[in-house]
Amino acid sequence: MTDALVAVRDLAVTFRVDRGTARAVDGVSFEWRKGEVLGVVGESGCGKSTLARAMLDIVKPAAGQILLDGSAQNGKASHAEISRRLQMIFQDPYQTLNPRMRVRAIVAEPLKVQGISKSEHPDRVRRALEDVGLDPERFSERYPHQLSGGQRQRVAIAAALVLEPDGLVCDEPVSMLDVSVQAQILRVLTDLQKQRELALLFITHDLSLAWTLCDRICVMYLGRIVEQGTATDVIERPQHPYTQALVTAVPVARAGGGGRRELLTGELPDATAIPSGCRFHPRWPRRFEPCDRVDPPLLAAGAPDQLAACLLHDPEYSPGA
Amino acid sequence: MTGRRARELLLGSWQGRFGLTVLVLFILMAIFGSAIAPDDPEASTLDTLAPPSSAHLLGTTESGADVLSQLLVGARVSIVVGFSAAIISAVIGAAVGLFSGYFGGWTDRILDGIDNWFLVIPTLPLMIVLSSLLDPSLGVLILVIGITSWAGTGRIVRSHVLTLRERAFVERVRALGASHWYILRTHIFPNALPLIFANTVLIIAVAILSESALAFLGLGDPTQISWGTMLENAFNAGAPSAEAWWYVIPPGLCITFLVLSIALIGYRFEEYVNPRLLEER
Amino acid sequence: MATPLLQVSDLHVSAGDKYIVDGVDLELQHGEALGLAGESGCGKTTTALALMKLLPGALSQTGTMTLNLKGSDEPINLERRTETGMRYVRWRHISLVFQGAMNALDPVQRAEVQFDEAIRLHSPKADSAEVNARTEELLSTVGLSKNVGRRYAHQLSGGQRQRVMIALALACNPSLVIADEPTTALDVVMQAQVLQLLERLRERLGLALILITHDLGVLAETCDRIAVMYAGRIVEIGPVDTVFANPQHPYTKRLLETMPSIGAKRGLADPIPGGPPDPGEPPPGCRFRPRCPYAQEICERDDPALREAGPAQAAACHFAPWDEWPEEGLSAAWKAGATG
Repeated sequence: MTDALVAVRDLAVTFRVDRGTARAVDGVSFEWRKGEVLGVVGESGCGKSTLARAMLDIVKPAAGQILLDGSAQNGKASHAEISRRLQMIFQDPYQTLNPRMRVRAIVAEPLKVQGISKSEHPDRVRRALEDVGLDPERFSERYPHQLSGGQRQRVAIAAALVLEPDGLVCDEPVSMLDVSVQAQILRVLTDLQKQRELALLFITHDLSLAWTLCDRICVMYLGRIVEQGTATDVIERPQHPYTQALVTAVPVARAGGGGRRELLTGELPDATAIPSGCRFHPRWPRRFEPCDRVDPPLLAAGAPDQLAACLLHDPEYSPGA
Repeated sequence: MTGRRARELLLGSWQGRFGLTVLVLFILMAIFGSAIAPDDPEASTLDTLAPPSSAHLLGTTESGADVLSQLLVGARVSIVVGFSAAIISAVIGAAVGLFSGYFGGWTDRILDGIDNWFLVIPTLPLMIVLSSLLDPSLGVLILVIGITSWAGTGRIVRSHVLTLRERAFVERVRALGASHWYILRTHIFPNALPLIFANTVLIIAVAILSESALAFLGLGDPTQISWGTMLENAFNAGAPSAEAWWYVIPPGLCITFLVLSIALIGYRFEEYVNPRLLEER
Repeated sequence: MATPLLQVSDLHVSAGDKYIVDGVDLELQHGEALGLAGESGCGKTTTALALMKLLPGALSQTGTMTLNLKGSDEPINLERRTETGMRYVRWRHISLVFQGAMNALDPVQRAEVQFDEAIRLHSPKADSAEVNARTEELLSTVGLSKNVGRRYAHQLSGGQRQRVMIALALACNPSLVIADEPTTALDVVMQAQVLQLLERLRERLGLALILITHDLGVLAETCDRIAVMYAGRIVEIGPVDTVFANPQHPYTKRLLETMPSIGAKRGLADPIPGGPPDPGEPPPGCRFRPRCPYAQEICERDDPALREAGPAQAAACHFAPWDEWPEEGLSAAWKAGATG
């Protein structure tokens, strides 16, 4: 526990919708360690964004705990403390900044909200802008509509880091940017991560990104983590059929392209109608008998630190695979 | 919005320039009207319903008063009523829209319900009823017009706030732990302001016409001279059939041009509100 | 070499004095898949729309575009066609799978109505039995059941909508399909399915395909040739495997280096600094120079044209063909790293 910045235990988040109750996050446990770059990977609808919002206390969990290292007694931190230690950047650079505020006001705002004395603002804002590669002289007085997508995202990062948090949650931070700008923003994030020993939580559907940047990866499907391990283990030797399908489905920009495809059948079910047993079983052509009855927990699979929620790794059920 | 942008909007096109010029002219008329009026607007003479002449540039009324003087003096009431009622309408409409859009739930249901009620009630009959129940005075008139015209603004602001509430920059600030009041004050309201402003400019036009209509129907303050009362008196005196065009057309034209100038300015501001600027992709 | 299906020469599209497409030459063989790659603003979507003469009136277009259909001696000069003339060509010979297919379907009409529209373009006198049969055939070609025809757009998932768009594009048996970012909004598994579908259709129907995307991985998997666009021009063109194994333009090379890719090594390479040039004021000489690590003096003086850089490969760079890429001599401007 001393190693973990945030420990999530049996977290569940539900939403009431017309069709019923959507179990967006349905029993998730993991640790996000200090200084670690952790990837949470999955398709849209798997619950990864909801998970992030629950961690930042924007959304209230229906069950489970989120423990922030070093906070009071049972580890339940106040909202103010969470905001001070964890920050978030969002996907859409065109929506993430108030169009009527200047850059310096946007970056100073967290300081204002947290009650930090005004005399400190100019210095901290200037340093934050420099850290993200924006010249304070040129950019402080600008409005968002005068900035490119990449520049806006840099401002968002500066605003997130001005409070000097211990962890930064990045929800698809580059998916709406051009390819060459993506590389720039990712470089900003990784440089800052190394300089400050910041913990990064990368939420993305892009496996290539997770592969390139993350130390460890959690793969989510329909509200659960189905595989967990180091980036190398999870991508090179995936132990869960869903991860295998994802990895082989990614088109590779290389002569000859990628290899054989493990394709899935059907579509992602709705979060209000989660399949019985293993929630993934309807989409896997090679499913076997207990898959529709038994809901596998995360089991040891493959490398020492690797876990997969699949009955293939349960000696009691597995058909000898 | 910066001063530079405002100037660009207003002076950059003929609509803006025209609208601004006419509006400024009328405001000057409202302020200095009584000072520059050639005659006492209420003075009766024997020279009734006389066509324009060198003594009376716009002719006379049915009691021999100078039409031009009445026009200049009457500007004040029309403009004061127009602007004041519009401000009242904007304040109520904006408040209702902001709170119901932002807080949702029961607040929304109640406020939106009230908004709907005011929207469907026919405005003019409501104004007439309220005016006839209260002692006629300028203040009451302004209040009545203000209270009966906020519903449109409320509805528009509410929808805009609903979308603003979901935008990432609001979510971001919520994640910082900001209070609802802070968010409303710093993020929601300033972003709704251009919309409120643009809509209110149109309400000014509506308010001036309403004052004229109420005055025309005899529900305004009978002692105040306004463009509306001029029209009412003119019709009562049979000006149209007497072909006393100098009595009917000038106040009518003034109302039209004032409304037109405000509408043109409002049109220019609508371009500012256009999301093209706010959400450039 | 047989007559190419499509020949585009000196295509220019501009809005006033701002260029959007600034001199594009293309050739496409029957049944070939050409990928158009590049970032936003490079002109790839505009090129596609220009081929169909679907550009908004405010843009002006010049250049020749010739369509040589199989079994026809008469080449069709697209640039000379009027709007009425183009309607004969559109959908019958060239069709388009739009970007953001989610929004390209009419939300208040059932899918089958849109099929009806498309099918009758080719066979105006077909009766409803024929139309239904053809609709069912098209839907099954893309792996959808005929029930899908009865549904509205909002009742279909993203993957289904995309496949409906593809089926619609095939309604008149065109020789060429232009697909603009056909898989961008789809998840990776669905994307793989759609790409596989396109591949199968190409084989079965002998379709030529122009695939437009910023995702180089998608191009590597589906296309025979690739053209990389930058600032309104093609800066590199060649067979897909050759271009990926041995890029000859610095932009292509840097894009490949900086794109995260499974199977490449982990960790980030130095990003390309800055951003694409302003169409109203392109930099003097080579348009990529301000961001190019290998720029020299000549690059600021002369704007390089496409030159041969290998068998069937061409690159618009003064120093192509590159045998190897120098480590030293990287330009100072690049090292300083502009902020984009």
